Formats: sequence, structure tokens, C-alpha cells
Amino acid sequence: VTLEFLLVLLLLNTFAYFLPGWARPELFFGVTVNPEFRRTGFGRNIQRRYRLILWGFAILAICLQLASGFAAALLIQVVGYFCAVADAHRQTLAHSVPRGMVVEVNLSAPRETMPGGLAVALLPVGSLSALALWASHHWDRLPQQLPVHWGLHGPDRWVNRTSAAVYGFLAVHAAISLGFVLVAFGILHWSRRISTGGALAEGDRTFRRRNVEMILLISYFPAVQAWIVLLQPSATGLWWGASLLAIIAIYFALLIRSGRGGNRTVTPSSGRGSSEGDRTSDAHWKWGIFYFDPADPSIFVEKRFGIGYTVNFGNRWSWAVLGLLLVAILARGLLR
Amino acid sequence: MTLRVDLNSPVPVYRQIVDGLRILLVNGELKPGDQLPPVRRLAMDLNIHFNTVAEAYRTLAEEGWLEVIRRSGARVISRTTPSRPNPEVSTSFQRRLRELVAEVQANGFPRGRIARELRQVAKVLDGI
Repeated sequence: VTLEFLLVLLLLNTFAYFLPGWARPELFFGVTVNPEFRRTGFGRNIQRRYRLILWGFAILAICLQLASGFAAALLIQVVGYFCAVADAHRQTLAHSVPRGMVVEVNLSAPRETMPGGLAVALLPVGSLSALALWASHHWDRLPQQLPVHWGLHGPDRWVNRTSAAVYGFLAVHAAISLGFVLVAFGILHWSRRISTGGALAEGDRTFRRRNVEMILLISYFPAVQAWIVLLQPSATGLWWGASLLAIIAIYFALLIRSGRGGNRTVTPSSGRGSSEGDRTSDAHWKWGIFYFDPADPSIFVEKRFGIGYTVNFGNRWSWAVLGLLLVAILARGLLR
Repeated sequence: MTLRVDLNSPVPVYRQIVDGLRILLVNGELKPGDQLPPVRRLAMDLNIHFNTVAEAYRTLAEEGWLEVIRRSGARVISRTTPSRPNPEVSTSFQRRLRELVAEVQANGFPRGRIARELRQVAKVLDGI
């Protein structure tokens, strides 16, 4: 069992362990419940069972890694996560309560804009264009080989320096960066806004804003990576591991801190105004993870279990957005 | 300026939007020239199908309150109120008002409170 695998497993499971506590107070494993439910015997039992399944699969994953390898072991851990959540969701359904579906919309709410404007969103693509221009004039200064795939230890697949490889490499990184910008734009313009007042609603707005800011920050990652690969190839391995860990840590730390509707320590009765909740119906959530509502025009919706946003699988435009993102990510594999 | 919709109410959502917006228009909270959100934006914020919002905007446009602009939503336009009410509207108003009073009375609303609410409405009308 490699140390890296144990580290990844520990990180994933620790994160999943605390996940139920970071949901909105009125949501438990994606089901609408009384905010106090999680503190009852039933709530604690469901949570305990969820964690047992999670760690059970972790032990199975360690055994599998000894027998076959990293990919299969990681896959079984992911399967374990879904099994644990689905089981907890099914158990919680028996304790669901009907939710009020009164929706308020502020008709004079200003249009939400990208943090920093269009310039900040398009800077990574602009910098990659500049890099392409620089590369065309300084061909000899480029490394003989370019990394096109990264594993836990850094780059593990390389291609020779050709025009197609260099410009393809830059184009793919620009496409990935634009994909993240598209998601940030989508959260602002293709998801529900927060219209109520009070501290809780303000918390919801901050959470939404942080999401967009963090995704924009992540859109810089492919651009910086391309710059380092072409200009400082010796730093690629170090850069890859350190930056990936830093980004993941910052992303989750900021989102957990901003909370949504407060977190489990804030109940709706704490006199901090009202939170709108996610304004979706329990019936449209499968296992509390996948949202499917063809009548809902939103493409992005706030996750009920987990942190951030997910897509509305019932909206055909969501599939278009997912397809674009997938093409951008998989295109790197086509580089020869 | 808030629009409230109860997705569990037996009243159709389209009707709730029309009624909610009409109250804002009649009270002067929405004035000629004001812009309403695009159909898709409002549908997204209310978590309803965009055809429902489009239908509500169309109804208010037919009543002369709105001008529907493709892609950018709807704009409030100045509307001339008829100088004499249509006799049918007058009869229907009286009937609906009595029906409403009877309904809330049957649901346990005290007479005094109903009278207070009606006086409140009358005060607002006098103000106009």
C-alpha cells in the first residue's frame, strides 16, 4: 500500500465523514427534515451507519490496491461513497417533512456580474494566446518534450515538441480554462438567485459569490500550468502537486467557512432572518445527489449533499454544458 | 418590490404571478418605463417552467400593462384606465368580493378582522 494512496484515501474519507454536517440545517442526506432531526437518535444512527459503510469500503479499497492497483481501489472507494449516501438517503426518507414552497423574488434585484468583470475571466485565455505568440518566436527555447498527462507524482506521459503538440497543448489548456469560466458564468446566470433579506440570506449570497470566485481562480490553473510547462519544465512536478493540494484546500476551506443558510450551528429559529433554502422539491433528487427536473429552467442548482453546485440533469442544456467540459478535458488525451 | 408565489397553493402559479404583478402595477410600485426580469430569469428564480411566466406576461400585456420585449423581458407601459367601468366587471367584482368574505368567514376569520382588512384596502384606495 503506497503512502500516497493512503493519504488520498484518508483525505477523501475525512472529507466525506464531515460532509453531512456541512449541509443546510433543514437538509439531511438530501432529504427535507426538521432542523433538529440530525441530533435525534434516528439521525445519529443514520450518520453512524453512513460512516461505517464509508470506512468499510476504505478497507476494501486498501485490499484491492494490494491486489490490483490504484485506479480500481479508488473506484471502489467512490462506489462506497455513493452506496453510503444512497443508503443514508433511503433511511432518512422515512423522516422527511413537507416543505413550504413559498418563493419570493425581488423584481428590482440588480443583474449579477462576474467578479472583476470580463477582463479577469478572460485573462487566462489571453495569457495563453500571448504564450502561443511568444512560443512561435522562441521555438528553440521550448522543452524537447511536453507533459500531457499528470498522475499523483506529476507528469507521467510526454509528447515530442512539434507544432501540433505545442499549439494543441495551448489550445486544450485554453479550452479547459474557458470551461471553468463557463461554469462560473452559468452559476451567475443559469441558476436561482437569493432574493430574501437577513443574515442567513446574506450568508447564502456570500456562498454563491465565493463559488464563482473560486471557480474563476481555478480557471487560472491550466494557464499557469501551461506557462510553467513551456518556460520552467523542471518545476512541473513540484508545481503540480503543491498547487493541486493548495487549490483543493482553499476551495473547500472558503466554501465551508462561508456556509449556506448558515451551517448546522445556525438553525432557522436563531433569529437571523430567513433562508430560502434551495427551493427544490425532494421528489426531484435521486439519492440526494442527482437533481432531475425537466420543468426547472435552471442549469445549475445548489448541491443538497456536498459543497457547491451541481447540474440539473433534467435540462437538456445541462448535458450540452457537461459535454463541452468533457470534450475540453478529454482533448488532452488526443495530443500525440 | 417583491413577488411571492406559493408553489403548493391550489391557485395556478400563472394566476398568482398575474395577480401579484397587477397589485404592484395598480399600487404604483411598478411605474411606466420600469423593466421586468426576462421570462427565463424570472422562471429560474421562481423554479417554474418559463412558459408559465411567458403566459403571465402575455395576459398583463393584453390588459395593457406591459409591453413584452423578446429576449429582454417586459416593460411597464402607461395604461389609460377606462373612465366608466364595464357593468360586467362591476357585477363580477361584487360577487367575487362577497364570495371571498364568505370563504374566509367559513375558515374562521373573525368578522371584525375582515372589516379591518377591508377598511385598510379602502384607506389605500382613498390615498390614490
